[in-house]
Order: sequence, then C-alpha cells, then structure tokens
Amino acid sequence: MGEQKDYLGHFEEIVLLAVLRLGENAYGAKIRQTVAEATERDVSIGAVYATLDRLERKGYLKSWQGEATPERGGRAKRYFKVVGAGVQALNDTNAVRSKLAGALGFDAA
Amino acid sequence: MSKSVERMVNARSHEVYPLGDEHTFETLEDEQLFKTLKEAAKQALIEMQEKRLKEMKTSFDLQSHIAPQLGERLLLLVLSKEERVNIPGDLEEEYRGIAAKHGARYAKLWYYKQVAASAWPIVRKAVSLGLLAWVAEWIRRRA
Repeated sequence: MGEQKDYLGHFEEIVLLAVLRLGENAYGAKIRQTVAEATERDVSIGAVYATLDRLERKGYLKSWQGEATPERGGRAKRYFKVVGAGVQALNDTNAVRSKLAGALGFDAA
Repeated sequence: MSKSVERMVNARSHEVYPLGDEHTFETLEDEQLFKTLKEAAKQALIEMQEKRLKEMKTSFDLQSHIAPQLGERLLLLVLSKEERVNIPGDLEEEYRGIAAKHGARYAKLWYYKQVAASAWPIVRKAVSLGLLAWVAEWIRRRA
C-alpha cells in the first residue's frame, strides 16, 4: 500500500494553515485571532496552544521564544513556523479531501 | 564676552531666561544671538512637553487596559509551567486591543470566557481522573 501517511484533524489543519498564512508574525495571540476570524468562532487560546503543542510533537511545527513587550505585561511571545513535514501533511490531507469530495461534485478547495 | 551673552550661553532652559523678558544688549550680535537662543529654548520646551504628554498617554493606555487580575490568577492555577510563560501574555495583549476597541466591560467578559474555555478541559480531566481514582479505591476496598 506504500508509505503510511498521517492526515491532519480538522482543527489541526486550520491551525497549521493559520501559522503558514501569518508567516513571520505567527505567535499565539495572532494565530488565535486568525483562526477565530476564519472560522467565525471565538476559539479559546488553550485549545489553540494544545493543538500547536501536538503539531510540534508530531514534527510539523517548530517554535521559539520571542521578545517580551509592555502590552503583554512583560511576557514573551512564542513564535511558530511550519516545517517540511507539516507542509507534506497539509498536502496529503488536501489530496485525500480532493479525491473523496471531487467525485461527489463538492468544491474540494 | 558681555554679561548678557554669558548668561545666554549658560542658559539651558526657560527657567534661566524666562521667555518674554526684555533685555538691553550691548551689540546687535548679542541681540541676534539672544533671539536665536530664545527660539531654540522655546522649541526645546515644546518638544519636551509633547514627549512628556506622549509618555503619559502611553502610560495611561497601558494602565487603563490591564487584564483582570482575578482572571489571570485563575488562569495561572490551571496552566502548566510551560503554558504560564506565554498564554497570559497572549490574553493580555488581546485584552488590551479589545478594551481599546469595544470597552473594558466587553473585554473583561471576553477574558473570563477565555479563562473558562481554556481551564475547562483541564478541570474536566482532573475531575474524571479524580473520579476514576475514587472508583479504583472503592473497588480495592470492596475486594
């Protein structure tokens, strides 16, 4: 059957796409805002971080501590970046969706 | 150097040479120099006041939109050591933005909703584990 692929969960995919979209500005609060705007739901910061941590453990993201600012009460930001395996997981998940949805006439994009 | 020029040269602010005073100058050069220094002192004073006002406004903005302390303490109770480094900062940053846009009351409501939504899965897990531990202990005693 070939190489075993890992497919992303619904929220994992959304979070990963938000990180990709934000580029260099991908840190906790901004990721949460982006996901909330895209889904039109007020997602909790806890849920976002739980997903980010899970994706990092899977090797799809890497993170590092950024600068602290007065607006954050002197606390540092945690930045995220999608790595190669994360992009591959996104492609694989999208390919499966296209395969299944396309045959049904849904817009898989 | 004339005394009037000496005073002007030593003057560093409007306290030394209050604006609007009339002076008698020995030469036209002294008068020109005085006018230049007076104008420079006036400009420096305006810039200093603007800078001070800006700092006060920034300080006020930061002070007036501080995240609810009780909410933050509740959050810190349930977060892990690693999560405590970043999550409170993220929420505070968003809180300030929301407070500036929609007001402090709305922002507080949003903040407590975030705390509850973030804490609930952790509390639920702890309760379920607690319940499991209680059941395990009950079975052990019955055995």
